[in-house]
This record gives sequence, structure tokens and C-alpha cells, in this order.
Amino acid sequence: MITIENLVKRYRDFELNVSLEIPDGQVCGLVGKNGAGKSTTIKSILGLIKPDSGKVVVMGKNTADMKASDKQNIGVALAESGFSGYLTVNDVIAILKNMYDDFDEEYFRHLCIRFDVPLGKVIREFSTGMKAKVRVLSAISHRAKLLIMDEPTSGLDVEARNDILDILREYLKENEDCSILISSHISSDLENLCDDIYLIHEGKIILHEDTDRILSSYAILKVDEETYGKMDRSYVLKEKKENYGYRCLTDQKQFYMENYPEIVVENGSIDDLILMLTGR
Amino acid sequence: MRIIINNNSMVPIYEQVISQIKNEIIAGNLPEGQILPSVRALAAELKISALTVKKAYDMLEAEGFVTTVHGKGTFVNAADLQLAYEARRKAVEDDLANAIQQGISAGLSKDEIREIIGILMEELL
Amino acid sequence: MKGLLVKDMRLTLQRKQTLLIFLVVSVALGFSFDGSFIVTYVSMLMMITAMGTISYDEFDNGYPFLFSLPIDCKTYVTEKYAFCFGMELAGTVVGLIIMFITSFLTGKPVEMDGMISGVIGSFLGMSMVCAVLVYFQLKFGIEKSRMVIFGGYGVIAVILLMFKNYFNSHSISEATGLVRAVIDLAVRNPALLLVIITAVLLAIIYVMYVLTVRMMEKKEF
Repeated sequence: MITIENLVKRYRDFELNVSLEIPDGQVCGLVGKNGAGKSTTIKSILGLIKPDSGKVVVMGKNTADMKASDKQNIGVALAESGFSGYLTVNDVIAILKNMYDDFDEEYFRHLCIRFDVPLGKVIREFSTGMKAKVRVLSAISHRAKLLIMDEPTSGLDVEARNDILDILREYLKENEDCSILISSHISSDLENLCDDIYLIHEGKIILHEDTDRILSSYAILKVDEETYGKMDRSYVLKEKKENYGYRCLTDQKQFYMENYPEIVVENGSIDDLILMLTGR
Repeated sequence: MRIIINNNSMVPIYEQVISQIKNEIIAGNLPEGQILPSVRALAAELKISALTVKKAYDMLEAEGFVTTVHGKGTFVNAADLQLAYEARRKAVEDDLANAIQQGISAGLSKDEIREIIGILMEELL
Repeated sequence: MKGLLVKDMRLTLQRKQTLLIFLVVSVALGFSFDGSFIVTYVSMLMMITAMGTISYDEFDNGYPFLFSLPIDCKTYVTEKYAFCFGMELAGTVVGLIIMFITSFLTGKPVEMDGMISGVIGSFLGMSMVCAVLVYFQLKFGIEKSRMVIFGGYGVIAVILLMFKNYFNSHSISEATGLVRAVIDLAVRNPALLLVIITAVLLAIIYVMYVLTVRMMEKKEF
């Protein structure tokens, strides 16, 4: 669905250099701290910025050669950019109807009712959560094969975040072959949605792993000095000194559980990965 | 079909899915020929990734509990009694392994653990 | 293209009050001024309103999302030009209506002589200014383009001043070169002069359009 090969984009104080691959029908998460390069990567995929070098292929086409009609099959929700706040949702419906060949007005209206989105009020008077919902609904209502979501849950409370994720889950269920690329710095959002995760840090992908493996094989080991000294550390990816000894990240939880039953093992999470792999 | 996922469990999520579907099949709650929810439908319901569900379905198929017909869905096979027995036995083994693991963590010796099991056997049977 | 037009129409209609005030003021002016002034005035107001949609697009970092929709830069620029010219045309029609109604009510006859060419001329002239302004607005954004536009006014004022000085110190009969040729043509064949001016204005509009598309295609959002 999306292939990025050695995409390089240089700014004055930042350089992006990533490769990634999203197979058809896969839900892929892009996580990283603010300013790590998530938005730049997404903007390159959408052709909003032009790479200095490298290749970005979306649905079989180089982004540089992408035509307006190719974007009919993509649904986009961006964190800090949407329809003008001076429009109402009714206006948005009219625009989308004339923008996308396959816009499903009934579906859109149905979701608006379900999530209490007012149709006649100008968007700039909406709450943050409501604005985010309008953005996501606008992205999914033309049955796109590919959804690209940049921080769709950013700045929202737990409930609104959950609503957004539920909308996406339902969309996935109803459109079996669609793919999603979603970025977030709130990783728990992605743990129960994405098939695989790319961790981006300072413009580079530092980890790519199936979510399933992160949750089942990765773990935090809490080890005291003594055990740390005698323990086989071949599967420790990163360690941090703590009061009690060491905090270690491993991708072979089973190995340590079986061989060192005295070690405290905590299930891994994407947050742990970010903290351990990108922290100081 | 009722599946409950424990996100804090040390048992990987796909294994939780596998064992619970197996139990449903063995218990007869999922009759032969019954279609399982689509990968994405079950993923959405359990709030887990589709790949996890797919992995679980693949392993169930490898073990002969279900058959996936491409483009149609995943169907329950006739519960094989031998398979069912092995599955139950495996579940017991897993539980005992967990218990023993805990015993070791608690600083019990092998003999002590054997003794506990012996006493429990006497009491329960 | 259609979606963008709908967007701009809806954005403009959000400013119903402003439009209504414009209309009232225009009618009032229609009573106090004779001739085609009111037509030019209304169409200019409409053009400025139409260009205002650019600031709405830009406001709140709207461009990245806008260009993720199934449109390209060329469609966007074409639509902007079409919308501005369309609004200008609508303004011209409204202006004409106001003009005829007020002249009917006040009993003052409309001077048809030269009115039509005046209206067409001012329409084209304004369209050219619009084409230039759209370019600057898109290139520099609302804030910076305001400076550029003020600068532009300054340049035009200086040129006009130079003309004025020229004609103050020279009588028309003394004019030479291009000015002479234009004056001669105006006397001998006014229709041809009109055609030439029209062609020049259209050419400028087209060049501005091409430049704007190219500039937008290079832009990053």
C-alpha cells in the first residue's frame, strides 16, 4: 500500500531519513515523541512536502506523479489542519459530496448523529474532541482504501479518544481490505489497534515490530545488582540504572522467565519501548 | 462465543484467544461448521490487533480445530476427542507449570513443591 | 474543482452580514453617483470578498488538509481565479441592476454612451489587478502580501504622478514615443485601441495564472 525507501528530507536543524513498508490490509502505527518526524513522514506520503531524495510509493504510484484522482482512494485526517473553522458540518458535507465520487452522505450523517456532532454550528465553536471527530469522519466517509491519520487523538480526553478508536475499528471491520497508517504519541491508543509499530526517533526509524510481539515477547526486567551481574544479557536491548539495580528492556521475555525466576518481569508496552529506546 | 482478554496476563494475547476458542469448541458451544467472526470483527470486538487474531486462527487451523476457506471465512471442525483430550492436558500442564514457577519464585525447593502437590492430591481426590 | 467552488461559496455566504452591508451601502451610493461608478464599485467589493476566501484557506494552517483532498495545485489556482472572476461578474450584474433601478427611481437617464465599454474596461482592469493580488496572496500569505500590496500601490501612485507631471509640463500635442502613438490611435481608431488593451490585459492575466500555478506547485505545506 505504501513503500518508503530512504526518504530524506533536510531542514535547518532536523533531518528525516526513513524507510518503511505498509502491506495491503495492514494497520500500521507510527509512534515517537513530538518532533521525531512523524508528521514530516506523513506529509511526504501525501506529497505535501517534496523529499530531498528517496522514493515514496503510494498505491503503486510515486507521490511526485500522483494525480488528484489518485487521492480519491485516500482518506486523511491531520492533527493541526482541517476544514476552515468558519464552515459548519453541513457545509463540510456539501463540499465532500462534490469532492469525492464515493462520498456516503447517509453514513456521514448517521455517524454525526451517533456522536452528537452538531450540523449547523460553525466548527470553530466545537470542542477539541468534536473537531477531531469531524476530521476523522471526513476522512472515512468516502470508503477510502487507505486512511492516513496524523495524531487523530492528540489533545483529547480518554472518552473522545476511545470514540475515535472505535470509529476506526468499525471502519476496519466494515472494509476488510483497507489499510491504515496512524501516528500518535499516545501509544496505548495504538496497542490495541495496530498490527505493527514503527518507532521513530530524531528522524530515524529505530524499531519496527509486530504489536503482538511487543505485547507478548517484550518485557521490562527489574533486576538487582547481583542478579544483573550474573545474568545472561544477550537479549537485553537497553538498560537503565535504578535505585534497586537495573531496569532492562528485553524482546525475549520467556527466556528470562524460565531461566531467572527470581527476576521481576513486567509485560512490555509501547510506552516502555519509547522511554527505554529514546530516553536519555 | 465469549472471549475475555486479560491485558495484564503473562500469557500472550494470541494464546489467550486460542485457548478460549479451543475451550468453546471442546465444550460444544461452537458446533461443527459454525463460522467464526472475521479476523477484523474479532479484533474490533476484543480491541486487539488483527494480526493477533490472524495468528490465533492460523494456529487453531494448524492444530486442526478450524478450517479457513479463503474468501469465505474460518469454520469450526468437528471436535476430535483425541485432540480435545490433548488440549485439556496441555492446559493442565500450563497451569501446573505456572504454579511451579510461582513456587520457585517463592523460594520453595523441588521437594517442597512435590510435597505440596502430593498433599493436594490426597485432599482433593 | 466543484467541491472547491462549493467551499468558497459557503465561506462567502458565512459573511451574510458583511454582504448585506455592502449591498445597502451600494444602493445608497447608487442614488448619489451617476453612471457606471456603482458598477465598478460593487464588482470590486465582490472581488475583494472573493479573495478573502484565500485567507480562510490559510487561516489555522488549513492548507495541508486542503491539499490532501483530491485536488492538485492547478485545480486550486484555476478555481480561485474562476471564483474571483465569477464574483466580480456577479458584482457587475448587481451593480448594473442597482444602477438601472436607481436611475429609474430618480428619473435620471442612464448614459448608455461609453457605459458598456467603460464597464468592460473596468472589469478587465480589475481582473488583472485581481490576478496579480491572488499571486501575491498565495505566495506571501495574508500578512506579508499586505505589505507587498501596499508597496504595489506606492509604485502605481508614483507612475501616475510621473504621468501627471509629464502632462503638466507637456501639452498633449507635444507627447512623443509610445504615449504619442497611443493618443494617435485613440483618436484614429478607438476600437482597435480597445482591442489591443483588452489583449494586453488578458495576456497579463494568463501570465499571472501560469506563474501562480508554478509557484503553488513548488510550495510545501
